[in-house]
Amino acid sequence: MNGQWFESLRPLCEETCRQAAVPSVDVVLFYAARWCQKWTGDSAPRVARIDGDALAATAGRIVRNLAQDGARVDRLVAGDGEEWTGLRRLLLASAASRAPQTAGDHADEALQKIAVVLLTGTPPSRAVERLGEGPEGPRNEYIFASPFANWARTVVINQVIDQLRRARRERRLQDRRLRDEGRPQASGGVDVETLASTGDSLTSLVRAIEALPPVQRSVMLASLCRRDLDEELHQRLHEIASDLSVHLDELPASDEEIAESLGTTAHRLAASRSVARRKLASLDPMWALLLDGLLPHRSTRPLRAPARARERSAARGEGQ
Amino acid sequence: MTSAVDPFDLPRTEACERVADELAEAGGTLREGGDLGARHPAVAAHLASCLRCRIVLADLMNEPGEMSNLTTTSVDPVALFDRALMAGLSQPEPVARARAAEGFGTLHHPGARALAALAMTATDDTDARVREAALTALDALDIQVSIPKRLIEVWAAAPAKAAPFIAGVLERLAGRIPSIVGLAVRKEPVRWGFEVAGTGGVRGDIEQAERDVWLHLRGLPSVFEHVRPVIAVPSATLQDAPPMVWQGDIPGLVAAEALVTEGSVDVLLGAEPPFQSESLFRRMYLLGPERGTEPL
Repeated sequence: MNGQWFESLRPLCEETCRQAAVPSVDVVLFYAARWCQKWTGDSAPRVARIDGDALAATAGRIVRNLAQDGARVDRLVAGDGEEWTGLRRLLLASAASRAPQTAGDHADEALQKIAVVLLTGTPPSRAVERLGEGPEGPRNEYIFASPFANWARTVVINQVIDQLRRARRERRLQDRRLRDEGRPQASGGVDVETLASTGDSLTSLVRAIEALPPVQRSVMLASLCRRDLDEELHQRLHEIASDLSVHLDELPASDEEIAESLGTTAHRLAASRSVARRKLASLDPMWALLLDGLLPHRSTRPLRAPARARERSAARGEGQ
Repeated sequence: MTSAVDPFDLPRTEACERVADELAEAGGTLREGGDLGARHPAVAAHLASCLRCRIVLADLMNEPGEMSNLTTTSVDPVALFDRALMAGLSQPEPVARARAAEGFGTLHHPGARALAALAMTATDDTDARVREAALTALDALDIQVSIPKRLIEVWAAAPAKAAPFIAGVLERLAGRIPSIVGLAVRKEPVRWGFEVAGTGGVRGDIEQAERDVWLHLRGLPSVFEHVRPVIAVPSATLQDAPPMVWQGDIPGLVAAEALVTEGSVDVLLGAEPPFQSESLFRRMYLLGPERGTEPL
């Protein structure tokens, strides 16, 4: 193995293993090498060109995740029925929160995808042998850069999202057909179940919010006016709902500001919003996904430069 | 007005793939109260422009529903692996296809569909390494379970289900696995009957003796010596196959009553052959489901 490109990773792997008291340096080296290959898209990458901090962090994660999940992955690859059944339960639980009606199908499909990835990848028990042959593998290989359960859940979540995308495309086509046939389409004033089956998710979501009880309606609409939302989404929402036609300068920046404007507390605001979200999510999983995109957790929200908002606001003012 | 931004119009991109491993880790980081920007700068940068991955992360941060309340059926890993390896054979990357083919070599009871896919990979895959891996797997399977024996089992268990695959599997494997010999027939010019020729100098004929139809073979390879071979006639499984009374319970699958001796064997195929029999016997296969005198 000496002289191979990945040997330059060995000191880092040795050091990481020493700190974590892990003896199998070659196993960690294999997955660290695979991470470099995946990250650069090169089968023999120049390690010196890869960010050292990212590499060190990855090696640390690989060591930790190998210790936590290495034996589990080996058991799965060996065909341990109990382990696969446990994994299916996890996938089922993840899918059930998004698509309760079809959770079983999603779990089974994700299970097969995971089986393909694991069977065409390299389990820890074969890592040393494959390191000797020269590390390689498919692009979607699981390489212990994240906890196995989290990685498995992303498989099923992505699958649910893709299924919803397909469903949405079909709805659009159906909507178009109805329009071409001159038949009336769902619009404002109909019940939320009917709205759930219409073509434009965002429009139907806003209409469904308008149909909520007054407090929940106010809370949701005010939350959708928050300043950290995507600008284009603001424009689209502005188009759809007159209630959202708030001048950008007046957009609230935080839950505290929204709560103050509604005469309540941030805690009550969050509670009402949570109830409203659950209600909407139960009506249409697509709305649940949309709300996750529109109102994500505060730590994952993209930062929006206030200067840009001001510029845009100024530009709007000129046009008026 | 610009077009709406909609997460459902955003397919998974190369950038999503690139951060996929770390995104799964980032969910845990955030749950533990860690700083996304500091711990996962690449993910944080990607999230700023990717609604789809924000949705995935939001879901990861939520614990899945109460698992103990969910009843789930037990997973049968054999069936799962069978399906997964089949799917693996059609992956875009040769390394994935080769590994899927290798994986078949470890299965104990591959189904007809799986054997057909593996045989097709062994002959038709565009990548030499994948073809080689598939052939190696077929050899390994043959050593473990005898492919002819497995084919006979799946044919006998569900003839209609196996029929679409059997002919293809046999044709692809004939000559590649010593215990499967393809037999081509040619109609006799004057009387009812056929001349038979197979790979490796196998010769013989099909003739009618009163009502019965007999297959006589000679020059069989040594692997068939002292073996009770099976004759497979895949055309007999077709819905529009000419009717004939077949020896045994399964149309088109006939076990010899005698052992191969000095490279020769006579097999009673059945009785009352149709007058127009050429399409029925056009392609036949000699299978050696046993090795030596020990049944596998």
